[in-house]
Amino acid sequence: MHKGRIKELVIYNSKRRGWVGLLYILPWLLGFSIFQIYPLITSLIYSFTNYSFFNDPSFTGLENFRYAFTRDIDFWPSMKATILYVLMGVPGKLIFALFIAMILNMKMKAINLFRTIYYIPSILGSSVAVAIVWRLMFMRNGTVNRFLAFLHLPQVDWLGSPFAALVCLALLIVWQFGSSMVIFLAGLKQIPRELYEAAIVDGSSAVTRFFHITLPLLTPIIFFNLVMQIIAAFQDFTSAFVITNGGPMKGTYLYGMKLYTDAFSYFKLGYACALSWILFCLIIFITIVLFRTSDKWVFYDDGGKIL
Amino acid sequence: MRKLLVTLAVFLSIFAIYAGGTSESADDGNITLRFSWWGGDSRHEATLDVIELYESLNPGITIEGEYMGAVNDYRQKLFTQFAGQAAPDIIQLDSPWMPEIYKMGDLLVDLNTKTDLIDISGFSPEFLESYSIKDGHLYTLPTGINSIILTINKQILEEAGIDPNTVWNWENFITEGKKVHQNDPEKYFFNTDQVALATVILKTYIIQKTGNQFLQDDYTLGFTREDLIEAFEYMNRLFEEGVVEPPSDCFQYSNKFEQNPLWVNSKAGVIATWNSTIMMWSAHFLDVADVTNIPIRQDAKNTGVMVRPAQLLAVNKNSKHVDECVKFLDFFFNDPRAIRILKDSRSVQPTENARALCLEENLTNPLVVKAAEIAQDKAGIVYNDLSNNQEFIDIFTTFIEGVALGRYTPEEGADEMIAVYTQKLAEYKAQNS
Amino acid sequence: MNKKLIGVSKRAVTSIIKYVFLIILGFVLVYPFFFMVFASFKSNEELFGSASIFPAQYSFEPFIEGWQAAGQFTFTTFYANTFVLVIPTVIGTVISSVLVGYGFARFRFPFKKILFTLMIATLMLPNAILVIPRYIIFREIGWLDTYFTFYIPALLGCSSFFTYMLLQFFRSVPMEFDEAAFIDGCNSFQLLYRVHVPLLKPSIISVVIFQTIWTWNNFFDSLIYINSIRKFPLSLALKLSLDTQADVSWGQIMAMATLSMIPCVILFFAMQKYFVEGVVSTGIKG
Repeated sequence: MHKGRIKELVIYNSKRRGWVGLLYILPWLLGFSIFQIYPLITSLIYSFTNYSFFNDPSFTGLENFRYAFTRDIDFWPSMKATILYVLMGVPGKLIFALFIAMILNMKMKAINLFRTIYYIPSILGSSVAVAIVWRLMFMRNGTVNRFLAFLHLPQVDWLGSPFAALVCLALLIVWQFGSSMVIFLAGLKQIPRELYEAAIVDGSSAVTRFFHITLPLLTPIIFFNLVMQIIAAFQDFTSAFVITNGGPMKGTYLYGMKLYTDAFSYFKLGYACALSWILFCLIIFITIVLFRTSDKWVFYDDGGKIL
Repeated sequence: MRKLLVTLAVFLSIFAIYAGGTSESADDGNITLRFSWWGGDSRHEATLDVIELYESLNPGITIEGEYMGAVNDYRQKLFTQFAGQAAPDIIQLDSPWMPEIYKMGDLLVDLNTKTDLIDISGFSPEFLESYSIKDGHLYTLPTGINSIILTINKQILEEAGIDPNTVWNWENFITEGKKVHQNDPEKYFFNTDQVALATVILKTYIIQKTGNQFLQDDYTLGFTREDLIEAFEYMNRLFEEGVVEPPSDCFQYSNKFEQNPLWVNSKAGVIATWNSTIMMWSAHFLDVADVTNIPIRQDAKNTGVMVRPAQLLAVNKNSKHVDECVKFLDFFFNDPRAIRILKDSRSVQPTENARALCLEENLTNPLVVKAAEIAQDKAGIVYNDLSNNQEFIDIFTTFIEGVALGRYTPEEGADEMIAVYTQKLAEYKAQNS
Repeated sequence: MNKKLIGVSKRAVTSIIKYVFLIILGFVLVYPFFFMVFASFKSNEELFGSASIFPAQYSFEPFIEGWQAAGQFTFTTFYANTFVLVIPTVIGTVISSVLVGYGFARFRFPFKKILFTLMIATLMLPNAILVIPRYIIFREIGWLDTYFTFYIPALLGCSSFFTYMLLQFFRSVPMEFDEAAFIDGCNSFQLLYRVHVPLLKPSIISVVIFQTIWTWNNFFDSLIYINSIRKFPLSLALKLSLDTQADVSWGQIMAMATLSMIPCVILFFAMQKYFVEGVVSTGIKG
């Protein structure tokens, strides 16, 4: 009996009968094909048509893309606002997260308390409730301006000028730095203490230690976070929709909002699919550029495996 | 483990029933209808009261009110619902949307086929013909007649030494209007936003000058570059001379200028609005309120004063209970008990009997009646579909923001806007020919 | 001697500065939440007029009035809807990610490498590109305005983030456990629920709380898929109460915003160690 089972175990370990494994991943296989691959393909097909719910779609070739790039008056402003938003929000968030993680890593008391408090915004930050609070706080006579006045700083018409409104949305991203901070903190803890001790013996300054030890060893984590955060930020919708509704002067008409409006307000579904593919290509392009340049600045001690 | 799985399965199936099941599938004879509208608090209350009354008179019928404040938010949601085939059973619509709704397909019930359930004899046939009937089918019923007027807070005007009975033209609108802010730096004469500037003020300004449709039926502009520059310059004067609060402030209340604290706290003297909204938006100063016509230039080729159905009510063709919806509409429009509750919450009542009842029992606020009368007296052009088109209004609004906030000079704004309009018009022409 | 003393006090000073900085930062970060809670008690005039964060008086009127929301529908409905939306979605996510994570971590099957790469790739697949075709699919099946739009993708493992997270944990369980259980006569499914599930309990809890909070706060999908007010979850209801009132009473809105967050806040404080674990294990987001 026992012997028989051992024999089976050997089979189990060597072959892991194919169909059993497939059975376990079956839910995902279904979900993947129905809700990911199929939509991806149909979306691509729609993007070459003038599909809408209310007419029979016809094939229009590259017309949607041509229209977006050359004639849609909202396309470039929206693209510009989105890129600016991502450029302000994501690096701001990551730098801030790293900075705070460094401080918290310095053998301090009550780290857990601070870590918890700093983490709250990233847990609740994407909710509508927070967006409404943000809108209220950044109003012309709102808390933020009252605080600036208290510090004798010039007040800003946050929601009244396109750029300030974009900054206001980007601040919402930066505010949610907690999750990245927690990840960085975990990364910092893994850096061997001996490296620092050796560097101190060599007489290097804190700044040198940061740039020669800390940063290089953290780059894989920073890199991965950068990529994921950029992908997410490019699609942001809720904040722009609730706080500024894309205004003023469409200064915060983020790409996600443009997609939503074209698809679900004007029902230009084919066109919206084309827009989503433009976004997808842009994201892929940025990711590839980041990966290509990553061997210049990302340091892998295990030969390049992040997954 | 098995126990856990069984519990899970039961749990999930309960949720599935809750999630997927709709009221229509209930077998106990109960019917649920969804009725959607937009408006202010007083309209919401009146409508909910009518619903409650109807439910009490018709056991087994539940009507769920789905309502919103801002008309643009409502429009967006409704159109998404149409696309998702999840629109309410009874729907309040706005007449400028109708061309688009007709284009979306056969969505509404032809009420002519239901005259056994609803009495439509009280509606003015001419009015139905121009706004509710398409290709011989009666798709909607108007809730009243609406017109653009100025609602005035007499007290604020008098404080600044302005005669509340002034007949307004564009010039004295500024020369008189600026006194309010001069007199009290916290107050302004006119409260508006970028959308109202586009749809009411500047559009009317241009139409009065040209006498044309804003956008003409042959897909050409109804105005010249000079007309548009003049309108933009006029708008800039409104801001520069302190007639209107600075654009960066009032533009924050895009599409909801009635929410501007300036207006809510009685620090602005005038709004340009539909007469259906007087009771909702001026409730806080009704004892000193008055109405008058919007500014009209002396040599106006057309007054541009908009008169059209307040709203339209329609029944969703996909509804599972079309007949019940129609019966409710009959109650809503014709039953004296309903009329007594609704009064003027959707402007002056649309049917003759209802108007007589309101007059007799003093149910309509005299201001609303006056507003309807003075505006009809000066009624201008009936806007064509293109001039009402949302996409063109949105573009106009964007350029108004741009010029007011100094991103463009009036000339640059006019040039760019005309370029965009010309291109869009060409697209529409291509689509529709 | 003297030098050493100066050194010590210098360190003390820097450490005090650090703490002061961290405390101020913490205050700034949570300020919006306090602002929200206190604003719940204020009238519009007080909100825009008074400089104090604290309300002049504590009256629960805004909570009571705000709860009434849109006439026939109160926040009771929206609250219940949110639970009905969230709970099965979370259960579905747990089931699918445990099964799929286990499948990828412990079995060898044809095309595994390709499939695994694809699964990882979907982590980076922007949702924006899938939304429209998915909407069309749901419309064809007639699932719009139902919660199936949330349940079914969850049950079919469409949040590969969680699958990936559990997969990492499965990998960290030593093979010896499997072998021991196998010798005891377990088949692979018994192995999963007798050995792995108990071991993975903390990670499963991480999945539960993350998915709960994300689904709870999900606005975009609800906005598109859920159309009738009767089925609105809290996120949509909040936006709705912002839209229904002609004259927005911010106090009421803030009161409802506060109430809508309470379950998430409780979950966060009760389970915070799992949050941190979940975030760190995947290194992705939170």
